[in-house]
Amino acid sequence: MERMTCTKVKELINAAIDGENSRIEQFAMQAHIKCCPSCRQHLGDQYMLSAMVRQSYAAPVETDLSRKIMAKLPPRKVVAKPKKRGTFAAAAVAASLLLAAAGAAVLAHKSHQDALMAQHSPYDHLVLQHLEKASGSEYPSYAVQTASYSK
Amino acid sequence: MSRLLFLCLVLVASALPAQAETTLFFKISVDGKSYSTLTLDGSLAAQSKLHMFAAKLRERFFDPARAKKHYYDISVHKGFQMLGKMVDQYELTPVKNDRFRQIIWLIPGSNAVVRREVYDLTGKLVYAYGYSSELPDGVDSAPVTPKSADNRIGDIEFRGFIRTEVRSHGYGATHHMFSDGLNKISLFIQPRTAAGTVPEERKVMYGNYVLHSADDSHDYTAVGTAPFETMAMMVAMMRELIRTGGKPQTTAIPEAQSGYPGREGKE
Repeated sequence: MERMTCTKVKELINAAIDGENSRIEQFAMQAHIKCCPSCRQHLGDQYMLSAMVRQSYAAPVETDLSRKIMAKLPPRKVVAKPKKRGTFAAAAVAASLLLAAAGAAVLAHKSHQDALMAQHSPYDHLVLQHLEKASGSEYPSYAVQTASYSK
Repeated sequence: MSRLLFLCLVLVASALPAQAETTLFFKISVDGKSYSTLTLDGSLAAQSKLHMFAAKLRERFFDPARAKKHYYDISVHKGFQMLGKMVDQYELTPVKNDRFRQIIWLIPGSNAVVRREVYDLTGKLVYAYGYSSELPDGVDSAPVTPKSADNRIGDIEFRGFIRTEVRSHGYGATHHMFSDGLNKISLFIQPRTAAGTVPEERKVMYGNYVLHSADDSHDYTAVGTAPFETMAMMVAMMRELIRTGGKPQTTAIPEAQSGYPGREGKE
């Protein structure tokens, strides 16, 4: 087998991370890496990058740092606990604001859509109505499941 | 109070990036002579009218079992590689030249569409869309619903196009939706207010064929992915129903007379 260039080996390294190499390509890649520090470094970098990407989709690790942080804070005066009624009222206000913001976003989207349709041909609204029906007509209601698939 | 508000904002903001990561491309025949090509992120936020139509064009799911096998030759290629992942390719070719050919790539095990191409009778691309950067690792999937649970009126059928919905609009038009499981045609019927003849119009708009004609009493506008000739025949059928004042009946052409071979599609 002819000697492989680093450029080619780096392509094989990228494919190896995704498990797409054939056995022959894998052997050739490993033989080159034994003798090439640059490609060995590239392999390590790609594995690290792949692990970082996987970790970014992983569930966050819960850590409780509150004790450490609180231990470093200066002692504070004891303050009377807020009444539960006040806390509940604050939560209700926050929820109301959130709902209002969501409603405003929906109205803004609708008026934006209306504005986009302002310059129209006589059939624009018919095409739009057709598309709105066509994209959902076969599945008027369905239970959505999250599915993952493998390569 | 301020902590609660901040928490709400963080919860909302954290939901956004997941949608913004995926990118979809669209190539749409705008007027039958030229194409518009654009990409939209996962939020499909419309910045222009074209963006809005493109976002509406996308069908997230397709169930191959729903396509009428009497009207399509269906070929399946499993293990097709796209953007580094394995997908299934479905090619649906009309048995007769009365509807459009489509090629659809699906995520195996689900009905999620990763790419779709629609071609007219001359083999010209009508529209296409699909993921452009990478396929998502996880995707929502719609379970296959049995045909008996179809939400169809089913009272009118024209060459496999079954009427699935009738809706009246505030401006006086009635919207009839027809589908053969793959291609769809909307027929808008509106009483005429003006006298005089109207020449038939044929257009291609935003990846859909549009045909408009009128008689003394009604305007008829058909929109969808079917040739103008098919749309014209459908309009004629509905016009006859209105003229005779008959109740909607199944007007399916018996297979023996239709010219469609009574065969199963190849899979």
